[in-house]
Amino acid sequence: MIVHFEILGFLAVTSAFYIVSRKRFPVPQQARLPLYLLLSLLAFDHAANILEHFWHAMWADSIADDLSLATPLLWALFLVEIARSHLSRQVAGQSEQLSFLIERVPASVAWLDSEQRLLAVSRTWEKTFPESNGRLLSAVLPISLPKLAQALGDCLGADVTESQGEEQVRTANQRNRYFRWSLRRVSDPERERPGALLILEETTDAIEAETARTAAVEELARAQRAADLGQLAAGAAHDLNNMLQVISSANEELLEIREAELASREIRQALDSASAMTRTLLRLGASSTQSLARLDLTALVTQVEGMLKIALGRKHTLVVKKPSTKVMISGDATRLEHAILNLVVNARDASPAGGPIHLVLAITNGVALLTVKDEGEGMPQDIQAQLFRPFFTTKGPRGTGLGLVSVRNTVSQHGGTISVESLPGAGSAFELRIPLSLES
Amino acid sequence: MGTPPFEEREVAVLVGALLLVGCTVYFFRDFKRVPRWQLLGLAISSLVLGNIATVVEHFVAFSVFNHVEHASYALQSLLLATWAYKLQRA
Repeated sequence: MIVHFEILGFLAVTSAFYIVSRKRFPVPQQARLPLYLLLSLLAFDHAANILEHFWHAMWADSIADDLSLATPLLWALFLVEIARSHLSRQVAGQSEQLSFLIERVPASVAWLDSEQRLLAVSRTWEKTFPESNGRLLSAVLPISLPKLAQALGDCLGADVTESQGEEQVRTANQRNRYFRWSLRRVSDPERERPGALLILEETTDAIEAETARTAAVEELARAQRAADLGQLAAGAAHDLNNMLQVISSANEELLEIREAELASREIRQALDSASAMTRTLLRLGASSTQSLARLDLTALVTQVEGMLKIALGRKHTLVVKKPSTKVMISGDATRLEHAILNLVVNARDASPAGGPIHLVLAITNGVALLTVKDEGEGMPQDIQAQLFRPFFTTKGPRGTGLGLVSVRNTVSQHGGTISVESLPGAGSAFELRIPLSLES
Repeated sequence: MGTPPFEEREVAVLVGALLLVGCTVYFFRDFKRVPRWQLLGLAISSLVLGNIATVVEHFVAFSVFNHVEHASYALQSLLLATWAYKLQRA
């Protein structure tokens, strides 16, 4: 039984010897020597016991017993060496990490003593303020920073352990420079009085970039507002043009001295609308707030019917269908009038001579549905997809591409939606859906 | 098999081993820096146990403590080999 223990021990020690002797074994050379000696001693001890068992070699056991006195000593040497080597490696690793940190930290970091002399600085500090070591902070900085000087004095003298701040200074060439700093009092066992750790960062570039960015954003917003106003003005002009077409048509009627009184009334109505529109335009320049009031769409359709007929002229007929009851919404009569006129004029332009234009008012699914339909050529899908895009027109130089944009804006401001159904050769139908007011 | 004569050097080795344990405990913070220090600690304990058994076997239960002695030394060698193996694999 005992010899089995010895054989097992011998095999284990020789295995350990083999492992330790490999180059990859992560123990430095100075720690390997006592380990080799220890393993040799243990191997000899096991071997001696085996020799004694099988061949009665008492001399081997006697030598082994003598040598065993050195076992604790070799253990101690081995432990000391291996602990020391690992400690050295850890210290070296930490030192390397610290150096790496000091080299790479993207901030100007400095360690100052109680006299505000620079004891150690980061690489970034060295690049920013060359030849800093050992000099007074005030002699190193390119500019006087009174707030920092005050805070540093407090940190080194009074009970303030840390502080942060920003400082703006104006240079001799009238340029503003910005600095941000952070201070912390640090104690060093080798020094009687505490020093301070300072992180100093010049933020001039960042602040100037931010200022420029803010200015650019404001400029962009101004440009956007100007573009919006321009679009509104163009839309208003487009609507005004429609009004003028009505006036022109009415004037032709007057020239023929027929139904002169009716034509005069229509001219007056169109002029009233144009005046209201210019007022709206002026109002928009100051504010985009819309004034909605209770409005009967049935009455509005009745009211604009005559104007629409004149706008269509003799070549087209207007077919109006409306309910006999009131269709109450919350809306702006003038804007809706312009929207209907826009759609009817578009339908006229899309229709062949003699083609009827349908204007239908109905209530469906809790909303007022106003449909303007023509029996013209209709539109392919790709044209429909672009209809509400500003400045898109199929009328060539005659069109502005703003009519339908204006209609969509009007409907949106009434909380409604606009949709179009069109098939090539089957005409187009524009449907405005506007929520009914509660009394409806 | 008769009991071999008691030798003073066995006590000296035991004292040396106990001093080793004392130093290890005293410098335990440094000892813990050694990777896989637990295996080395067990190996030292086996050494001490073997040394104790070497002395005690002369006074009581020779056969039992003789077995303990040789088993402890074998265990010491095994733990040392395991430590080396684990360290190499880490």
